[in-house]
Amino acid sequence: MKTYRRGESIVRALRGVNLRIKTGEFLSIIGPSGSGKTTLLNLLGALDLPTSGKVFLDGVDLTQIPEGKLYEVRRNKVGFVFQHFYLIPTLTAIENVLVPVIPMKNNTRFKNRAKELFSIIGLDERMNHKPNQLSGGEQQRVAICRALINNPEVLFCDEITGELDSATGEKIIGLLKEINQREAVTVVFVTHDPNVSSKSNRIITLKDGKITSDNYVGAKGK
Amino acid sequence: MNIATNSLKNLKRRKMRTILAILGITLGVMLITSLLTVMDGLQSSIAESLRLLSGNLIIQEKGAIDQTLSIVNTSLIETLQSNKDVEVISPEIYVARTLKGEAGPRFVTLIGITDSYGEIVSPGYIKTGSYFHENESGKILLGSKMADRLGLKVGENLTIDSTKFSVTGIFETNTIADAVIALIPIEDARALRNLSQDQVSVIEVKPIDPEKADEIRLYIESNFEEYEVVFPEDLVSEATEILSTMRSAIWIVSAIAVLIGGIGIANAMLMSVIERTPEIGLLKATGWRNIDVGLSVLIESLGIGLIGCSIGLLLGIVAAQMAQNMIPALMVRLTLATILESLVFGVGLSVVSGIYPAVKASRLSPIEAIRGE
Repeated sequence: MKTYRRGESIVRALRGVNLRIKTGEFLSIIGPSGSGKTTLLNLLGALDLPTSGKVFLDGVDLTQIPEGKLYEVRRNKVGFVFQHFYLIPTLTAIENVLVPVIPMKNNTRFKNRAKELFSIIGLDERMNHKPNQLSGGEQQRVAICRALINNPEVLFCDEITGELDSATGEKIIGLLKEINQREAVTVVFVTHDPNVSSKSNRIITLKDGKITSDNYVGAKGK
Repeated sequence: MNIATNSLKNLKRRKMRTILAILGITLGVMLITSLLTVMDGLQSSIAESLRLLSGNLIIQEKGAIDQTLSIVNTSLIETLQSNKDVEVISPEIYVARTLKGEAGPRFVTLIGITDSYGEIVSPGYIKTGSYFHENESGKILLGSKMADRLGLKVGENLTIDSTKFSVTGIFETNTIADAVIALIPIEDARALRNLSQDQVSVIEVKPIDPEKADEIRLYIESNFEEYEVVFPEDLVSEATEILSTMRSAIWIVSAIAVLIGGIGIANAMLMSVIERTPEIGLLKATGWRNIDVGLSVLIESLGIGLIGCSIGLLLGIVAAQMAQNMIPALMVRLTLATILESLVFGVGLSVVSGIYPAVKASRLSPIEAIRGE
Protein backbone atom coordinates (compact mmCIF):
# COMPACT_ATOMS: atom_id res chain seq x y z
CA MET A 1 0.00 0.00 0.00
CA LYS A 2 1.19 3.48 -0.71
CA THR A 3 -0.21 6.76 0.52
CA TYR A 4 1.05 10.28 -0.11
CA ARG A 5 0.42 13.59 1.51
CA ARG A 6 -0.45 16.24 -0.98
CA GLY A 7 -1.01 19.45 0.87
CA GLU A 8 -3.88 18.92 3.26
CA SER A 9 -5.26 15.71 1.75
CA ILE A 10 -4.00 12.16 1.84
CA VAL A 11 -3.85 10.38 -1.48
CA ARG A 12 -4.27 6.63 -1.43
CA ALA A 13 -2.27 5.75 -4.48
CA LEU A 14 -2.25 1.98 -4.03
CA ARG A 15 -4.50 -0.07 -1.87
CA GLY A 16 -3.77 -3.68 -1.30
CA VAL A 17 -1.77 -4.69 -4.38
CA ASN A 18 -0.42 -8.20 -4.47
CA LEU A 19 1.73 -9.03 -7.42
CA ARG A 20 4.19 -11.70 -8.43
CA ILE A 21 6.49 -11.33 -11.39
CA LYS A 22 8.63 -14.17 -12.69
CA THR A 23 12.09 -13.83 -14.14
CA GLY A 24 12.14 -13.20 -17.86
CA GLU A 25 8.54 -12.08 -18.11
CA PHE A 26 7.54 -9.35 -20.58
CA LEU A 27 4.54 -7.68 -19.04
CA SER A 28 2.62 -4.44 -19.12
CA ILE A 29 0.62 -2.53 -16.55
CA ILE A 30 -2.27 -0.55 -17.97
CA GLY A 31 -4.73 1.84 -16.43
CA PRO A 32 -6.11 5.37 -16.65
CA SER A 33 -4.19 8.27 -15.16
CA GLY A 34 -4.45 8.35 -11.39
CA SER A 35 -4.77 4.58 -11.26
CA GLY A 36 -1.42 4.27 -9.45
CA LYS A 37 0.62 2.66 -12.23
CA THR A 38 3.62 4.96 -11.86
CA THR A 39 3.49 4.57 -8.09
CA LEU A 40 3.49 0.80 -8.45
CA LEU A 41 6.44 0.95 -10.83
CA ASN A 42 8.40 3.20 -8.49
CA LEU A 43 7.86 0.74 -5.63
CA LEU A 44 8.90 -2.23 -7.72
CA GLY A 45 11.96 -0.38 -8.97
CA ALA A 46 13.27 0.69 -5.55
CA LEU A 47 12.69 4.37 -6.26
CA ASP A 48 10.24 4.55 -3.41
CA LEU A 49 9.13 2.44 -0.45
CA PRO A 50 5.57 1.36 0.40
CA THR A 51 3.71 2.88 3.33
CA SER A 52 2.89 -0.67 4.38
CA GLY A 53 3.63 -4.04 2.91
CA LYS A 54 6.73 -5.58 1.35
CA VAL A 55 8.53 -5.58 -1.97
CA PHE A 56 10.65 -8.60 -2.82
CA LEU A 57 13.21 -8.40 -5.56
CA ASP A 58 15.13 -11.55 -6.27
CA GLY A 59 14.26 -12.84 -2.82
CA VAL A 60 15.37 -9.69 -1.02
CA ASP A 61 12.85 -7.52 0.82
CA LEU A 62 13.52 -3.97 -0.30
CA THR A 63 11.69 -2.51 2.67
CA GLN A 64 14.34 -3.98 4.96
CA ILE A 65 17.21 -2.32 3.16
CA PRO A 66 18.45 0.87 4.88
CA GLU A 67 17.83 3.94 2.77
CA GLY A 68 21.52 4.60 2.33
CA LYS A 69 21.94 1.22 0.65
CA LEU A 70 19.05 1.38 -1.78
CA TYR A 71 21.36 2.79 -4.40
CA GLU A 72 22.89 -0.65 -4.82
CA VAL A 73 19.55 -2.01 -6.00
CA ARG A 74 19.01 0.94 -8.33
CA ARG A 75 22.48 0.59 -9.71
CA ASN A 76 22.80 -3.14 -10.14
CA LYS A 77 19.43 -4.85 -10.10
CA VAL A 78 17.03 -2.57 -11.93
CA GLY A 79 17.02 -0.19 -14.84
CA PHE A 80 14.52 2.63 -15.35
CA VAL A 81 13.33 4.37 -18.48
CA PHE A 82 11.06 7.40 -18.24
CA GLN A 83 8.64 9.15 -20.54
CA HIS A 84 10.77 12.28 -20.77
CA PHE A 85 14.09 10.58 -21.64
CA TYR A 86 16.09 12.84 -19.25
CA LEU A 87 19.26 12.81 -21.29
CA ILE A 88 21.92 15.32 -20.28
CA PRO A 89 22.07 17.84 -23.13
CA THR A 90 25.78 18.59 -22.92
CA LEU A 91 26.91 14.97 -23.06
CA THR A 92 27.11 12.78 -26.15
CA ALA A 93 24.89 9.74 -26.53
CA ILE A 94 27.54 7.33 -25.34
CA GLU A 95 28.48 9.60 -22.44
CA ASN A 96 24.82 9.66 -21.46
CA VAL A 97 24.70 5.89 -21.46
CA LEU A 98 27.72 5.84 -19.14
CA VAL A 99 26.22 8.33 -16.66
CA PRO A 100 25.13 5.65 -14.16
CA VAL A 101 28.68 4.38 -13.83
CA ILE A 102 30.40 7.74 -13.35
CA PRO A 103 30.63 7.34 -9.55
CA MET A 104 31.99 3.80 -9.84
CA LYS A 105 35.65 2.93 -9.60
CA ASN A 106 37.44 1.59 -12.66
CA ASN A 107 34.50 2.46 -14.84
CA THR A 108 36.34 2.37 -18.14
CA ARG A 109 35.40 -1.29 -18.41
CA PHE A 110 31.86 -0.23 -19.22
CA LYS A 111 32.82 1.44 -22.44
CA ASN A 112 32.69 -1.82 -24.38
CA ARG A 113 29.36 -2.72 -22.89
CA ALA A 114 28.05 0.69 -23.99
CA LYS A 115 29.26 0.13 -27.54
CA GLU A 116 27.66 -3.31 -27.53
CA LEU A 117 24.35 -1.81 -26.46
CA PHE A 118 24.54 0.76 -29.23
CA SER A 119 24.81 -2.10 -31.71
CA ILE A 120 21.78 -3.78 -30.26
CA ILE A 121 19.71 -0.64 -30.63
CA GLY A 122 21.19 0.07 -34.01
CA LEU A 123 22.68 3.49 -33.34
CA ASP A 124 26.41 2.82 -33.77
CA GLU A 125 27.01 5.88 -35.92
CA ARG A 126 25.21 8.19 -33.53
CA MET A 127 27.25 7.41 -30.46
CA ASN A 128 29.00 10.76 -30.44
CA HIS A 129 25.99 12.86 -31.23
CA LYS A 130 24.40 15.12 -28.66
CA PRO A 131 20.74 14.61 -27.72
CA ASN A 132 19.61 17.60 -29.71
CA GLN A 133 20.99 15.91 -32.81
CA LEU A 134 18.85 12.83 -32.24
CA SER A 135 15.17 12.21 -32.93
CA GLY A 136 12.75 11.41 -30.10
CA GLY A 137 12.86 7.72 -30.85
CA GLU A 138 16.65 7.71 -30.96
CA GLN A 139 16.84 9.55 -27.65
CA GLN A 140 14.54 7.03 -26.02
CA ARG A 141 16.69 4.21 -27.33
CA VAL A 142 19.74 5.86 -25.79
CA ALA A 143 17.82 6.10 -22.51
CA ILE A 144 17.08 2.39 -22.73
CA CYS A 145 20.79 1.66 -23.19
CA ARG A 146 21.55 3.78 -20.16
CA ALA A 147 19.14 1.71 -18.13
CA LEU A 148 20.89 -1.47 -19.29
CA ILE A 149 24.51 -0.41 -18.78
CA ASN A 150 24.85 -2.25 -15.50
CA ASN A 151 23.20 -5.47 -16.60
CA PRO A 152 20.08 -5.16 -14.49
CA GLU A 153 17.74 -8.05 -13.91
CA VAL A 154 14.61 -6.03 -14.47
CA LEU A 155 13.88 -3.12 -16.79
CA PHE A 156 11.06 -0.80 -15.73
CA CYS A 157 9.56 1.53 -18.32
CA ASP A 158 7.15 4.32 -17.44
CA GLU A 159 5.02 5.46 -20.41
CA ILE A 160 8.10 5.46 -22.59
CA THR A 161 6.16 5.84 -25.81
CA GLY A 162 4.23 8.81 -24.43
CA GLU A 163 6.24 11.41 -26.32
CA LEU A 164 6.64 9.44 -29.51
CA ASP A 165 4.38 8.89 -32.54
CA SER A 166 2.74 5.48 -32.84
CA ALA A 167 5.11 4.14 -35.48
CA THR A 168 8.19 5.01 -33.46
CA GLY A 169 6.46 3.78 -30.33
CA GLU A 170 5.88 0.40 -31.89
CA LYS A 171 9.54 0.14 -32.85
CA ILE A 172 10.51 0.89 -29.28
CA ILE A 173 8.27 -1.81 -27.87
CA GLY A 174 9.70 -4.16 -30.45
CA LEU A 175 13.15 -3.27 -29.20
CA LEU A 176 12.08 -4.00 -25.63
CA LYS A 177 10.90 -7.43 -26.72
CA GLU A 178 14.23 -8.11 -28.37
CA ILE A 179 16.07 -7.03 -25.26
CA ASN A 180 13.82 -9.20 -23.12
CA GLN A 181 14.79 -12.23 -25.18
CA ARG A 182 18.43 -11.46 -26.01
CA GLU A 183 19.57 -10.04 -22.71
CA ALA A 184 17.27 -12.18 -20.55
CA VAL A 185 16.00 -9.10 -18.78
CA THR A 186 12.57 -9.06 -17.20
CA VAL A 187 10.64 -6.15 -18.70
CA VAL A 188 7.77 -4.34 -16.99
CA PHE A 189 6.28 -1.41 -18.81
CA VAL A 190 3.49 0.93 -17.85
CA THR A 191 1.15 2.50 -20.37
CA HIS A 192 -2.33 3.92 -20.76
CA ASP A 193 -2.51 2.82 -24.41
CA PRO A 194 -4.11 -0.60 -25.06
CA ASN A 195 -2.32 -0.86 -28.42
CA VAL A 196 0.97 -0.77 -26.60
CA SER A 197 -0.01 -3.10 -23.79
CA SER A 198 -1.34 -5.64 -26.27
CA LYS A 199 2.24 -6.27 -27.38
CA SER A 200 3.16 -7.76 -24.01
CA ASN A 201 2.72 -11.34 -22.85
CA ARG A 202 0.88 -10.45 -19.67
CA ILE A 203 -1.39 -7.48 -19.05
CA ILE A 204 -2.15 -6.22 -15.57
CA THR A 205 -4.95 -3.68 -15.32
CA LEU A 206 -4.93 -1.16 -12.52
CA LYS A 207 -7.83 1.02 -11.43
CA ASP A 208 -8.06 3.32 -8.40
CA GLY A 209 -5.02 1.75 -6.83
CA LYS A 210 -6.16 -1.87 -7.20
CA ILE A 211 -5.49 -4.62 -9.70
CA THR A 212 -8.69 -5.35 -11.58
CA SER A 213 -7.34 -7.94 -13.98
CA ASP A 214 -4.19 -9.95 -14.63
CA ASN A 215 -4.15 -11.94 -17.87
CA TYR A 216 -1.62 -13.75 -19.94
CA VAL A 217 -1.92 -13.05 -23.62
CA GLY A 218 -1.43 -15.54 -26.38
CA ALA A 219 -0.40 -19.18 -26.12
CA LYS A 220 1.44 -18.92 -22.78
CA GLY A 221 -0.50 -20.53 -19.96
CA LYS A 222 -0.27 -19.49 -16.32
CA MET B 1 34.85 10.07 -16.75
CA ASN B 2 34.55 10.33 -13.01
CA ILE B 3 32.57 12.63 -10.75
CA ALA B 4 35.26 15.28 -10.80
CA THR B 5 35.56 15.53 -14.58
CA ASN B 6 31.80 15.37 -14.92
CA SER B 7 31.37 18.22 -12.44
CA LEU B 8 33.89 20.40 -14.19
CA LYS B 9 32.15 19.68 -17.46
CA ASN B 10 28.91 20.84 -15.87
CA LEU B 11 30.40 24.26 -15.30
CA LYS B 12 30.34 24.81 -19.04
CA ARG B 13 26.59 24.35 -19.21
CA ARG B 14 25.62 27.85 -18.20
CA LYS B 15 28.70 29.74 -19.26
CA MET B 16 27.53 33.20 -18.26
CA ARG B 17 26.48 32.07 -14.82
CA THR B 18 29.79 30.36 -14.22
CA ILE B 19 31.72 33.37 -15.48
CA LEU B 20 29.86 35.74 -13.17
CA ALA B 21 30.43 33.48 -10.18
CA ILE B 22 34.12 33.29 -11.04
CA LEU B 23 34.25 37.06 -11.42
CA GLY B 24 32.99 37.55 -7.89
CA ILE B 25 35.80 35.51 -6.39
CA THR B 26 38.37 36.94 -8.77
CA LEU B 27 37.67 40.50 -7.69
CA GLY B 28 37.82 39.64 -4.00
CA VAL B 29 41.08 37.72 -4.31
CA MET B 30 42.56 40.40 -6.56
CA LEU B 31 41.79 42.97 -3.89
CA ILE B 32 43.37 40.93 -1.10
CA THR B 33 46.45 40.10 -3.12
CA SER B 34 47.17 43.60 -4.41
CA LEU B 35 46.59 45.31 -1.09
CA LEU B 36 48.63 42.81 0.90
CA THR B 37 51.44 43.02 -1.63
CA VAL B 38 51.56 46.79 -1.24
CA MET B 39 51.40 46.48 2.55
CA ASP B 40 54.21 43.95 2.64
CA GLY B 41 56.24 46.22 0.43
CA LEU B 42 55.79 49.12 2.79
CA GLN B 43 56.66 46.91 5.74
CA SER B 44 59.81 45.67 4.13
CA SER B 45 60.76 49.19 3.11
CA ILE B 46 60.43 50.18 6.72
CA ALA B 47 62.44 47.21 7.89
CA GLU B 48 65.19 48.16 5.47
CA SER B 49 65.07 51.73 6.68
CA LEU B 50 65.64 50.43 10.14
CA ARG B 51 68.69 48.57 9.00
CA LEU B 52 69.93 51.63 7.25
CA LEU B 53 69.51 54.05 10.12
CA SER B 54 69.60 52.03 13.25
CA GLY B 55 72.01 52.96 15.95
CA ASN B 56 72.27 56.58 14.90
CA LEU B 57 70.92 59.72 16.52
CA ILE B 58 69.72 62.88 14.83
CA ILE B 59 70.18 66.17 16.68
CA GLN B 60 67.72 68.72 15.39
CA GLU B 61 66.03 71.93 16.45
CA LYS B 62 63.50 71.31 19.14
CA GLY B 63 59.97 71.15 17.76
CA ALA B 64 61.02 71.00 14.12
CA ILE B 65 58.44 69.01 12.24
CA ASP B 66 60.72 68.33 9.32
CA GLN B 67 64.47 68.14 8.98
CA THR B 68 64.32 70.74 6.22
CA LEU B 69 62.96 73.25 8.71
CA SER B 70 65.46 72.58 11.47
CA ILE B 71 68.50 74.76 12.12
CA VAL B 72 71.39 73.63 14.32
CA ASN B 73 74.50 75.70 15.08
CA THR B 74 77.86 74.23 14.09
CA SER B 75 79.31 75.11 17.49
CA LEU B 76 77.67 71.90 18.65
CA ILE B 77 80.20 69.96 16.59
CA GLU B 78 83.05 70.97 18.87
CA THR B 79 81.08 69.88 21.94
CA LEU B 80 80.40 66.53 20.33
CA GLN B 81 84.02 66.06 19.37
CA SER B 82 84.98 66.15 23.02
CA ASN B 83 82.35 63.52 23.91
CA LYS B 84 84.08 60.19 24.26
CA ASP B 85 80.99 58.15 23.36
CA VAL B 86 80.67 59.70 19.91
CA GLU B 87 82.33 57.93 17.00
CA VAL B 88 81.11 59.80 13.92
CA ILE B 89 79.72 63.33 13.59
CA SER B 90 77.88 64.08 10.33
CA PRO B 91 76.51 67.57 9.85
CA GLU B 92 73.81 67.70 7.15
CA ILE B 93 71.84 70.38 5.34
CA TYR B 94 68.40 69.40 4.01
CA VAL B 95 66.96 71.14 0.96
CA ALA B 96 63.46 70.60 -0.46
CA ARG B 97 63.25 70.99 -4.22
CA THR B 98 61.20 70.09 -7.26
CA LEU B 99 62.93 68.57 -10.24
CA LYS B 100 61.59 68.33 -13.80
CA GLY B 101 61.46 64.81 -15.04
CA GLU B 102 60.19 62.85 -18.06
CA ALA B 103 56.90 62.17 -16.32
CA GLY B 104 56.38 65.55 -14.71
CA PRO B 105 57.80 67.36 -11.63
CA ARG B 106 59.19 65.25 -8.83
CA PHE B 107 59.62 66.36 -5.25
CA VAL B 108 63.02 65.54 -3.84
CA THR B 109 64.88 66.11 -0.61
CA LEU B 110 68.52 66.99 -1.18
CA ILE B 111 70.84 66.20 1.70
CA GLY B 112 74.06 68.21 1.77
CA ILE B 113 76.71 65.92 3.26
CA THR B 114 80.31 65.87 4.39
CA ASP B 115 82.84 63.07 4.02
CA SER B 116 81.79 61.67 7.39
CA TYR B 117 78.41 60.71 5.92
CA GLY B 118 80.03 57.69 4.36
CA GLU B 119 80.65 56.39 7.86
CA ILE B 120 77.01 56.79 8.83
CA VAL B 121 75.51 55.24 5.72
CA SER B 122 77.65 52.54 4.20
CA PRO B 123 79.00 53.00 0.68
CA GLY B 124 77.83 49.44 0.10
CA TYR B 125 74.47 50.85 -0.92
CA ILE B 126 76.01 52.51 -3.95
CA LYS B 127 75.09 50.44 -6.99
CA THR B 128 77.13 52.23 -9.63
CA GLY B 129 79.71 54.98 -9.31
CA SER B 130 80.89 56.28 -5.94
CA TYR B 131 80.58 58.90 -3.23
CA PHE B 132 82.00 62.33 -4.04
CA HIS B 133 84.31 64.34 -1.79
CA GLU B 134 82.75 67.15 0.16
CA ASN B 135 84.95 69.75 -1.50
CA GLU B 136 83.93 68.68 -5.01
CA SER B 137 81.24 71.17 -5.91
CA GLY B 138 78.54 70.31 -8.40
CA LYS B 139 78.37 66.57 -7.70
CA ILE B 140 75.28 64.53 -6.88
CA LEU B 141 74.39 61.00 -5.78
CA LEU B 142 70.91 59.82 -6.85
CA GLY B 143 68.57 57.11 -5.60
CA SER B 144 68.00 54.33 -8.15
CA LYS B 145 64.28 55.01 -8.58
CA MET B 146 64.88 58.73 -9.00
CA ALA B 147 67.62 58.12 -11.53
CA ASP B 148 65.22 55.96 -13.54
CA ARG B 149 62.51 58.57 -13.39
CA LEU B 150 64.82 61.35 -14.49
CA GLY B 151 66.48 59.14 -17.05
CA LEU B 152 69.96 59.80 -15.72
CA LYS B 153 73.07 57.66 -15.59
CA VAL B 154 76.46 58.10 -13.90
CA GLY B 155 78.38 60.88 -15.60
CA GLU B 156 75.29 62.71 -16.85
CA ASN B 157 74.14 66.10 -15.60
CA LEU B 158 71.08 67.68 -14.12
CA THR B 159 70.29 71.27 -13.22
CA ILE B 160 68.96 72.48 -9.89
CA ASP B 161 68.27 76.19 -9.44
CA SER B 162 70.39 76.88 -12.53
CA THR B 163 73.38 75.06 -11.03
CA LYS B 164 74.68 72.05 -12.92
CA PHE B 165 75.22 68.83 -10.97
CA SER B 166 77.07 65.84 -12.32
CA VAL B 167 75.97 62.36 -11.23
CA THR B 168 78.83 60.52 -9.56
CA GLY B 169 76.87 57.55 -8.37
CA ILE B 170 73.51 55.84 -7.93
CA PHE B 171 72.47 54.13 -4.66
CA GLU B 172 69.84 51.51 -3.93
CA THR B 173 68.54 50.91 -0.40
CA ASN B 174 65.16 49.32 -1.23
CA THR B 175 63.46 51.98 0.82
CA ILE B 176 61.53 55.09 -0.04
CA ALA B 177 64.87 56.95 -0.09
CA ASP B 178 65.59 55.53 -3.54
CA ALA B 179 62.82 57.68 -4.96
CA VAL B 180 63.02 60.90 -2.99
CA ILE B 181 66.57 61.44 -1.72
CA ALA B 182 69.64 62.85 -3.49
CA LEU B 183 73.00 63.63 -1.87
CA ILE B 184 75.08 66.71 -2.69
CA PRO B 185 78.15 68.32 -1.11
CA ILE B 186 77.25 70.33 1.98
CA GLU B 187 78.49 73.64 0.63
CA ASP B 188 76.30 73.31 -2.47
CA ALA B 189 73.33 72.71 -0.18
CA ARG B 190 74.28 75.70 1.91
CA ALA B 191 74.33 77.86 -1.24
CA LEU B 192 70.93 76.57 -2.32
CA ARG B 193 69.41 77.46 1.03
CA ASN B 194 71.43 80.54 1.66
CA LEU B 195 72.40 79.49 5.16
CA SER B 196 75.29 81.08 7.00
CA GLN B 197 78.56 79.26 7.70
CA ASP B 198 77.61 78.28 11.23
CA GLN B 199 74.25 76.83 10.31
CA VAL B 200 73.27 73.27 9.35
CA SER B 201 69.92 71.48 9.39
CA VAL B 202 70.82 68.59 11.66
CA ILE B 203 73.80 66.78 13.05
CA GLU B 204 73.67 63.03 12.76
CA VAL B 205 75.74 61.14 15.29
CA LYS B 206 76.94 57.54 15.44
CA PRO B 207 77.85 56.34 18.91
CA ILE B 208 80.88 54.13 19.49
CA ASP B 209 78.65 51.71 21.29
CA PRO B 210 74.92 51.53 20.51
CA GLU B 211 74.22 51.13 24.22
CA LYS B 212 75.52 54.64 24.79
CA ALA B 213 72.96 56.25 22.52
CA ASP B 214 70.62 57.14 25.36
CA GLU B 215 73.43 58.72 27.34
CA ILE B 216 74.34 60.93 24.45
CA ARG B 217 70.74 61.96 24.07
CA LEU B 218 70.47 62.81 27.72
CA TYR B 219 73.64 64.84 27.52
CA ILE B 220 72.47 66.89 24.57
CA GLU B 221 68.94 67.50 25.77
CA SER B 222 69.96 68.54 29.25
CA ASN B 223 72.72 70.89 28.09
CA PHE B 224 71.05 72.35 25.05
CA GLU B 225 67.45 73.38 25.53
CA GLU B 226 67.07 74.45 21.92
CA TYR B 227 67.85 70.99 20.56
CA GLU B 228 66.23 67.59 20.70
CA VAL B 229 67.45 64.14 19.80
CA VAL B 230 65.50 61.85 17.54
CA PHE B 231 66.10 58.16 17.04
CA PRO B 232 65.15 57.15 13.52
CA GLU B 233 64.16 53.79 14.91
CA ASP B 234 61.39 55.38 16.96
CA LEU B 235 59.87 56.85 13.86
CA VAL B 236 60.21 53.55 12.12
CA SER B 237 58.64 51.49 14.87
CA GLU B 238 55.73 53.91 15.01
CA ALA B 239 55.22 53.43 11.30
CA THR B 240 55.44 49.68 11.71
CA GLU B 241 52.65 49.73 14.24
CA ILE B 242 50.47 51.83 12.00
CA LEU B 243 51.14 49.49 9.12
CA SER B 244 50.26 46.51 11.23
CA THR B 245 46.90 48.01 12.06
CA MET B 246 46.37 48.90 8.44
CA ARG B 247 47.13 45.34 7.41
CA SER B 248 44.39 44.03 9.68
CA ALA B 249 41.95 46.60 8.35
CA ILE B 250 42.82 45.70 4.79
CA TRP B 251 42.32 42.03 5.54
CA ILE B 252 38.86 42.67 6.90
CA VAL B 253 37.77 44.79 3.97
CA SER B 254 39.15 42.37 1.42
CA ALA B 255 37.67 39.42 3.26
CA ILE B 256 34.27 41.02 2.95
CA ALA B 257 34.85 41.38 -0.78
CA VAL B 258 35.69 37.70 -1.05
CA LEU B 259 32.67 36.84 1.08
CA ILE B 260 30.47 38.62 -1.39
CA GLY B 261 32.08 36.56 -4.11
CA GLY B 262 31.23 33.48 -2.08
CA ILE B 263 27.60 34.50 -1.93
CA GLY B 264 27.71 34.75 -5.70
CA ILE B 265 28.91 31.18 -5.90
CA ALA B 266 26.29 29.93 -3.46
CA ASN B 267 23.62 31.62 -5.53
CA ALA B 268 24.89 30.20 -8.80
CA MET B 269 25.14 26.69 -7.36
CA LEU B 270 21.70 26.88 -5.80
CA MET B 271 20.11 27.98 -9.07
CA SER B 272 21.99 25.23 -10.83
CA VAL B 273 20.69 22.59 -8.41
CA ILE B 274 17.12 23.84 -8.65
CA GLU B 275 17.26 23.85 -12.44
CA ARG B 276 18.73 20.40 -12.58
CA THR B 277 16.37 18.83 -10.07
CA PRO B 278 14.84 16.34 -12.53
CA GLU B 279 18.31 15.45 -13.73
CA ILE B 280 19.48 14.85 -10.16
CA GLY B 281 16.44 12.66 -9.68
CA LEU B 282 17.49 10.68 -12.68
CA LEU B 283 21.03 10.28 -11.39
CA LYS B 284 19.69 8.87 -8.17
CA ALA B 285 17.33 6.58 -10.05
CA THR B 286 20.33 5.11 -11.85
CA GLY B 287 22.21 4.45 -8.62
CA TRP B 288 24.09 7.62 -7.74
CA ARG B 289 24.36 7.88 -3.98
CA ASN B 290 23.51 11.00 -1.99
CA ILE B 291 27.17 11.58 -1.42
CA ASP B 292 27.97 11.27 -5.13
CA VAL B 293 25.49 13.99 -5.93
CA GLY B 294 26.64 16.22 -3.08
CA LEU B 295 30.27 15.78 -4.01
CA SER B 296 29.46 16.67 -7.58
CA VAL B 297 28.06 20.03 -6.54
CA LEU B 298 30.95 20.71 -4.17
CA ILE B 299 33.47 19.98 -6.88
CA GLU B 300 31.72 22.46 -9.13
CA SER B 301 32.06 25.20 -6.55
CA LEU B 302 35.65 24.13 -5.94
CA GLY B 303 36.28 24.49 -9.66
CA ILE B 304 34.87 28.00 -9.65
CA GLY B 305 36.99 28.84 -6.62
CA LEU B 306 40.21 27.54 -8.13
CA ILE B 307 39.75 29.35 -11.39
CA GLY B 308 38.62 32.57 -9.69
CA CYS B 309 41.51 32.52 -7.22
CA SER B 310 44.18 31.86 -9.81
CA ILE B 311 43.01 34.68 -12.01
CA GLY B 312 42.49 36.95 -9.00
CA LEU B 313 45.98 36.21 -7.75
CA LEU B 314 47.55 37.04 -11.11
CA LEU B 315 45.53 40.21 -11.52
CA GLY B 316 46.35 41.26 -7.97
CA ILE B 317 50.07 40.91 -8.65
CA VAL B 318 49.72 42.85 -11.88
CA ALA B 319 47.72 45.59 -10.15
CA ALA B 320 50.34 45.96 -7.43
CA GLN B 321 53.08 46.14 -10.02
CA MET B 322 51.17 48.78 -11.95
CA ALA B 323 50.75 50.80 -8.76
CA GLN B 324 54.48 50.65 -8.22
CA ASN B 325 55.13 51.82 -11.75
CA MET B 326 52.90 54.80 -11.21
CA ILE B 327 54.20 55.68 -7.75
CA PRO B 328 57.94 55.13 -7.62
CA ALA B 329 58.11 55.75 -3.90
CA LEU B 330 55.89 52.71 -3.43
CA MET B 331 57.55 49.41 -2.73
CA VAL B 332 55.63 46.23 -3.37
CA ARG B 333 56.59 42.78 -2.20
CA LEU B 334 54.90 39.53 -3.06
CA THR B 335 55.41 36.96 -0.35
CA LEU B 336 54.60 33.26 -0.28
CA ALA B 337 52.41 34.00 2.73
CA THR B 338 50.25 36.38 0.70
CA ILE B 339 49.83 33.83 -2.09
CA LEU B 340 48.92 31.06 0.32
CA GLU B 341 46.60 33.25 2.38
CA SER B 342 44.74 34.44 -0.71
CA LEU B 343 44.45 30.96 -2.19
CA VAL B 344 43.39 29.21 0.99
CA PHE B 345 40.86 31.85 1.87
CA GLY B 346 39.45 32.15 -1.63
CA VAL B 347 39.26 28.46 -2.39
CA GLY B 348 38.10 27.61 1.11
CA LEU B 349 35.28 30.11 0.93
CA SER B 350 34.23 28.82 -2.48
CA VAL B 351 33.90 25.30 -1.20
CA VAL B 352 32.01 26.45 1.88
CA SER B 353 29.63 28.39 -0.36
CA GLY B 354 28.83 25.18 -2.16
CA ILE B 355 27.93 23.26 0.97
CA TYR B 356 24.30 24.28 1.30
CA PRO B 357 23.48 23.65 -2.38
CA ALA B 358 25.37 20.34 -2.19
CA VAL B 359 23.44 19.16 0.82
CA LYS B 360 20.18 20.25 -0.79
CA ALA B 361 21.00 18.31 -3.94
CA SER B 362 22.07 15.21 -2.06
CA ARG B 363 18.80 15.08 -0.14
CA LEU B 364 16.50 15.14 -3.17
CA SER B 365 14.43 12.00 -3.44
CA PRO B 366 14.50 10.50 -6.92
CA ILE B 367 10.81 10.47 -7.63
CA GLU B 368 10.09 13.85 -6.11
CA ALA B 369 12.86 15.26 -8.21
CA ILE B 370 11.68 13.63 -11.39
CA ARG B 371 8.07 14.42 -10.68
CA GLY B 372 9.06 17.95 -9.82
CA GLU B 373 8.97 18.82 -13.46
